[in-house]
Amino acid sequence: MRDFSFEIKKVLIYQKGAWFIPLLILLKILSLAILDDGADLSLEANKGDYIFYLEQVKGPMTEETESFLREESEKIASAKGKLENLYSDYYDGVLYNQVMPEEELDSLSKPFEEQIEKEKGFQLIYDQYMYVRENPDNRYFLYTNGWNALLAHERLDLSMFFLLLLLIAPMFCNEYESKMDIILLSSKKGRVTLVLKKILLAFGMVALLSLLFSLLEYTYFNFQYGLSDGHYPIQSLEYFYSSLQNVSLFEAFIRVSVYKLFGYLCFSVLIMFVSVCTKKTVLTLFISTASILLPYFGLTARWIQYLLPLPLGFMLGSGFFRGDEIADSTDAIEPKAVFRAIADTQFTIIVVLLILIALTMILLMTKKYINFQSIRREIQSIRRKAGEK
Amino acid sequence: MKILIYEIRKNFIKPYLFVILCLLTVINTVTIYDYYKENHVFSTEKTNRSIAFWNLYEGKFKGRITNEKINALMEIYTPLYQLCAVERTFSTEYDPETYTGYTFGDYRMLDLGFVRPMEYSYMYRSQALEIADKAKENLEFFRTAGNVYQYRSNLKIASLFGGRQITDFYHTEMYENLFRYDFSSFLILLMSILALVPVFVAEKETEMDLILSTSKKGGKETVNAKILSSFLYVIVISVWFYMVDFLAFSYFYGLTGLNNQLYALKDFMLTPLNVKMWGFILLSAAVKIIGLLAVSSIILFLSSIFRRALLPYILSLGTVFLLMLVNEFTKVKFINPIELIANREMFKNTDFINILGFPVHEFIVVILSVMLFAVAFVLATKMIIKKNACLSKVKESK
Repeated sequence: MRDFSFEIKKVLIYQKGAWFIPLLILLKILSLAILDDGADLSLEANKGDYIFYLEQVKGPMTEETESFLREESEKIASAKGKLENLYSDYYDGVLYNQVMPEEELDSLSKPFEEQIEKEKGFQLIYDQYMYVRENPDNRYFLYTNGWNALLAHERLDLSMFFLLLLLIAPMFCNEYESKMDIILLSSKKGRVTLVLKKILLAFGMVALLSLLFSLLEYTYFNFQYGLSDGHYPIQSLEYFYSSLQNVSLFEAFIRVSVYKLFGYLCFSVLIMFVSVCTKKTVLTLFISTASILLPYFGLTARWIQYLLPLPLGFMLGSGFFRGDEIADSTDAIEPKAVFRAIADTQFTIIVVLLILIALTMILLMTKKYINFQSIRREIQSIRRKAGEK
Repeated sequence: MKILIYEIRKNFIKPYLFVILCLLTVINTVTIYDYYKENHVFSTEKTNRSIAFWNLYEGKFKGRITNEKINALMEIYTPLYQLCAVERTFSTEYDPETYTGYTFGDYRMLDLGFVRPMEYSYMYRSQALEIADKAKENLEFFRTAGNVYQYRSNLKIASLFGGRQITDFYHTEMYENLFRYDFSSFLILLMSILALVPVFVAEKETEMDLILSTSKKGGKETVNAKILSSFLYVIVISVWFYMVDFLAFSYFYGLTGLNNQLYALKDFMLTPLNVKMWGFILLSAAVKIIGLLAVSSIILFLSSIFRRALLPYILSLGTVFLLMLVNEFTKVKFINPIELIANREMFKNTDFINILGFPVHEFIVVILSVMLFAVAFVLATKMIIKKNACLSKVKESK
């Protein structure tokens, strides 16, 4: 247990983890505020009116909500027409010298104007109605901004990405660069137990941080927009309109968080594996960043990144819930696939494959770390050099 | 000179760099192939549509736009247009009489491949003239209003757009996609970070900096050689990748019309440049390299500050992302090297900046500001290394 606390001390104090963690958490909060593009601005601007209508139709679509929306739409249309008539009457009156007193005009036009004022908010709910109507079974009326900001994007969490590199890359690389590995290997607990302890520590940190970051996202958007009605189906958000998954919004969030945790764990195994293999910080950083960033930026077909046996797909998460999306434009000869849904069997295969790869990596890494052969070679070369001198 | 060669050998002639270069070249080619698969209309592959297109293109319509060609095209196109777009009574059966096998396929092929681009090329002259005429009209107004700057910028616009015309018809799909492709620059950035971070850090990690600071050429000369060799490395890598880009795009999309005007591309309708395609390929690569060198100078600066490789590496990568975000979300164009690396936005529109009453092309100002930015970082790097050298001398004397 004591050497475990030493390892923690090494990571937090000597590798300055105690500085990096709060710094990158701060960065995460900042990036949440800056990069939040899920919000529909017109919805925020007319939130009051929108919520007024939403309260009356919230949930699944029923005949009542439908007739309510139709009636309301007619009311607004007729109010517009009546107001127009009123004004034309007023101006006609002006022309023919039978002026209607201003007060009378105001009192007559007021109810219509009040009705029309709510039009923008109503238009938003009506647009939503047009979307829900296409498939009322799994599309419900709800306030979408919060959930959109939380779920409807596939952005790599760069702050977590950098934090993992900062914390995990030096765990082995520092030992190699200060030639500490040779001394450690000669010590009693410096072999298999040490590697396993390092891996365990990395897993613990990654799990804690990943959960913390997910919680942070949830709290931030809950505070910023509100995340009510989590039990509605995920298809209520337009981003997941063709999703074949039968999950609720909150469940999707929990599952995305678990996927992310899994992705980050695999990523940390990858970093450790590469650092034991290359023994160089720069190469470790290059290979682990390239394995994430190249498919992230390079692939034109975005869904392929979920099918690669790499941690990237799980680090993004949301795409596993998306359905097929086909775009048709006038400039292209054929319709193009924007996204292809990830089938359940594909998902299972990738998970199993990733777990297998991670286990092999851990095994190989442990074997390589405690390999006597390499030490013997090193000692021999040192002796040879000493002999030459 | 010798010291430069030593630095190059020490930092850049490494087996792993060579292996990574080969790997990334393969990845780049695969990515271009993937990109091409997603974004192509007519390819060099032997599909019905492509074969039909290239036969018509090579055999009939390529080259100077003449009335005969336009009439010949219209003769084939008009009945198809009538069938497919107006009456919508085309047959969906396979028809061996057609070019592509299907009537609607023929219509789309002719529409996208010949009619629309040829119409654009043909109409461009009058559009450019219209712009030039508007500018000339403005001249009179600004002269009477006494606005010298606006007068001069309109004069420039009039002379830029006045003589523009596209006399020849060439297939431009390859250029459109080549100029939209940025991934290779990202690969170059990754390779620059990989190789440049250790340039100064490695000396400190091996405690070589102490010895260097005491040797005759260990000060200024070494720093200069390091910076110069790093720049050479970035230039060589960039030239390599941009060549691969050009070759791969020509291979997949088919190379034709290198002598076509840049404004024959719809994206570059309002470009301030009166250059040919090949000229823009070279110019764009050169501008990209300037941007990459500016990023490299930031990496070198970070490398000179820290004693370990971890932080400069992460910070370099972070800086690249930050610059990308700034480029995407704000409208600040100046001093951002990414603006030069993804330079098509910069060359799409003709904008001027008022400098002492003279209209200067915006892209020139952007390029100069980025260069200044790079020079500032190079000077800062030199100063930091000098300071460190002094410090280690002081430590030694103690």
